[in-house]
Amino acid sequence: MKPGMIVIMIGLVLAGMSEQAIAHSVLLKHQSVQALEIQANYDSGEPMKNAQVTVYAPNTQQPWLKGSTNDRGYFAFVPDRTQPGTWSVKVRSEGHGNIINIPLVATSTASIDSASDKNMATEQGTLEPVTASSAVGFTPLQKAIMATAVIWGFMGTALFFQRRQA
Amino acid sequence: MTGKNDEIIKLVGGLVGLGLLLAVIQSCGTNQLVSAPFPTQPVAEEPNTTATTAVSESGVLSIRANGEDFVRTGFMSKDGWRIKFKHVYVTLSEVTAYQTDPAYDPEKSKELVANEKVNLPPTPTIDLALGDETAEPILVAETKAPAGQYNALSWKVVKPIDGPAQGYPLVLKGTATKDGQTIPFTLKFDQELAYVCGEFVGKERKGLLKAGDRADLEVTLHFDHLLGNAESPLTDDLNKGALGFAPLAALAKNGKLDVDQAALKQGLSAANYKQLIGLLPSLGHTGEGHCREILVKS
Repeated sequence: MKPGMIVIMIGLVLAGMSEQAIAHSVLLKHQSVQALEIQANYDSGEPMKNAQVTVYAPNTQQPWLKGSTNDRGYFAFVPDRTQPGTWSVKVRSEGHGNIINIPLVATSTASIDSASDKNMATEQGTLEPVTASSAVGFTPLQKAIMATAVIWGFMGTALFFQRRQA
Repeated sequence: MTGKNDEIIKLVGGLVGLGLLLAVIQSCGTNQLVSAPFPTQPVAEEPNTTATTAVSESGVLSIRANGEDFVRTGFMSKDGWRIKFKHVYVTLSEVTAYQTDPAYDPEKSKELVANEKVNLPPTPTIDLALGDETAEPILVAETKAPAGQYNALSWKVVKPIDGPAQGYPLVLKGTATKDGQTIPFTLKFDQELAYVCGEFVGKERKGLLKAGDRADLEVTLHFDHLLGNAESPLTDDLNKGALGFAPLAALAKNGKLDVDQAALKQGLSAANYKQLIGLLPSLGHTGEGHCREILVKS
């Protein structure tokens, strides 16, 4: 491994809280939000465990958020949707470090139809990485239906050609 | 007629199935991590400059050079020699700061395309060993510059035509001590180097210049790459790649080591000399941020 060289990968995930009810009139709500997930590895592939993470909002010198990676080199955060531009995430550990720049642009609410909280999206707009794929999740039921449809489709195609040959 | 309808239904079913298959494949892809986008940039011979920037939109950009505590306070080489530097002479040239968007990544892009480019004035040879652990990095140069985020930096290490390191881009002077033996050393390298770096990576963020304000960038040289660092495990990649001081100590005559690059080539084994010269490009950083490194051919 080259000293100090690290590899940072970024993913887009949907983070949310499940609804729960506990005692003493505590009310919990949940919403789905778009989070950015950073993966920090040395170029040997070894994860940067418990590395110091500093997040900078666009065009700022003061940290917007500080934290650390987990044991697998991952760190996730939800950027402030009101600050479009280039977000920078710095990861450092024991004299090695790197910085990744993530361009985020404001998008129309139409692009987040799958978000569970459309009102929030309408008020605040939404941000998404310019080049990252949009992350739309499917439920297990949806996936099962799709898998069944695929199998049915293959069978139909096979029968179609089989019948023509007959 | 019914049979024909059946065929059509099955054909449509097949096409729908294939479409859904593609949809599933795509949905699986979105659940995986994707690498950050840094497409290779086209060559920019002359990055754009803003020649008409108003004074009110300018600030002062400083460039500092830092050999870190390794040269200010010394360190233990990987093979147990206590290294103390008296002078570390470096001559920088063509120091240039850039504003890039998307940000230049030296590990992924060979060419740098800048929205703004600021050339720093020529500077004399500097001594990185000046000061103690509390010393500020050495001021190399400063100039008025358009406001913005300076997130890339390039420079060369060249042969000075005069001064204390005349003819040598890099001169290391100091002492190495082990087991009661102290060897005064002078290592003179005539290898010129060039670096193109991305954003400074360190404790603080650097390079954001606001109108009427000041900002600085840093040329950082990591001398532990040459000799290794006893504070890191020997299995650390830095130590596995470093030469250590023992091969150099073996060249000492009458208890002293005073060699130029030609003498190093003659005295060291071919493998050790190749290793040492191969390490020179790895000295240059900006903080902990890496650079694209170039050995300049004489």
